Amino acid sequence: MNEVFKLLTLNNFGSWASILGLLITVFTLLMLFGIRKKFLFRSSVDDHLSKISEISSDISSLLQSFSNNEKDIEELFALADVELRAMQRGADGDLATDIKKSRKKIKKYTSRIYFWVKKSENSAREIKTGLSVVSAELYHHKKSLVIGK
Amino acid sequence: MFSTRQTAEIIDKLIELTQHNQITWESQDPTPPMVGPDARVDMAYVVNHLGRNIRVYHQHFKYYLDEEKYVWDEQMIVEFIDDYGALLGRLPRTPNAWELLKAIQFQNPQINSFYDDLFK
Repeated sequence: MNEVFKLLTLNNFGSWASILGLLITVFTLLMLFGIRKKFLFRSSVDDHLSKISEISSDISSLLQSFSNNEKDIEELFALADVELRAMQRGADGDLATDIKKSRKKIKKYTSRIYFWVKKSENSAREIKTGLSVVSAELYHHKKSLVIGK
Repeated sequence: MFSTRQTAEIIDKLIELTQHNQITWESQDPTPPMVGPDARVDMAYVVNHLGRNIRVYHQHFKYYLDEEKYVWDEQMIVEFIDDYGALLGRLPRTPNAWELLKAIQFQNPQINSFYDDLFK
């Protein structure tokens, strides 16, 4: 033990403090990026909610006649994916999980890579329900922000 | 009662059934406590599905900022009622309830056949 204290000269102590300082700086920077993401998401919850609800409502109306509106529905799914991608950056918990699930379903529906996935009314309605779940989660998220959670 | 996810799924299923005319909603005049000095409802819609009565309505209500000042706000209510109209339970609020109202209103033959009647 005495050996250790002999080695810990002021010079050594300074070096260790500098390493510790660097670690704290890196940690603070990471936290700062996290807070920035969260803050940006919180400030745009209203905007996200109105956009995703509007898209979801439009899809719902078009699903009245799937065969006549197939192209329009696919376009709206693409728009929904853009909105979900923007939301995904700051979302966490159940909301983040539901966004991921919805994006996965949309990708499967719209991408040509998944050529075996049949574009039916049922699969379109499944995606639409995913969007409804996301907008409902977002609505409750907004409410909890209002009361300061 | 139901989770947010379950509520969104229930309402989306009701929209689907309505759009395919597998359930038919009946319009009813609003009764208290839906309406009163602080609340207004134009029309309530009721359906019996799988032995349950479901009622949907768009309510305008006074949101009090203090004892005297208020603003009019609005909400969509989806609830379960018994055969006498008494409330059994209410679904949590979700944005797709507005889509259900649209689907119900479009089910009205006077509205959905208008385009065909106009251009035939």
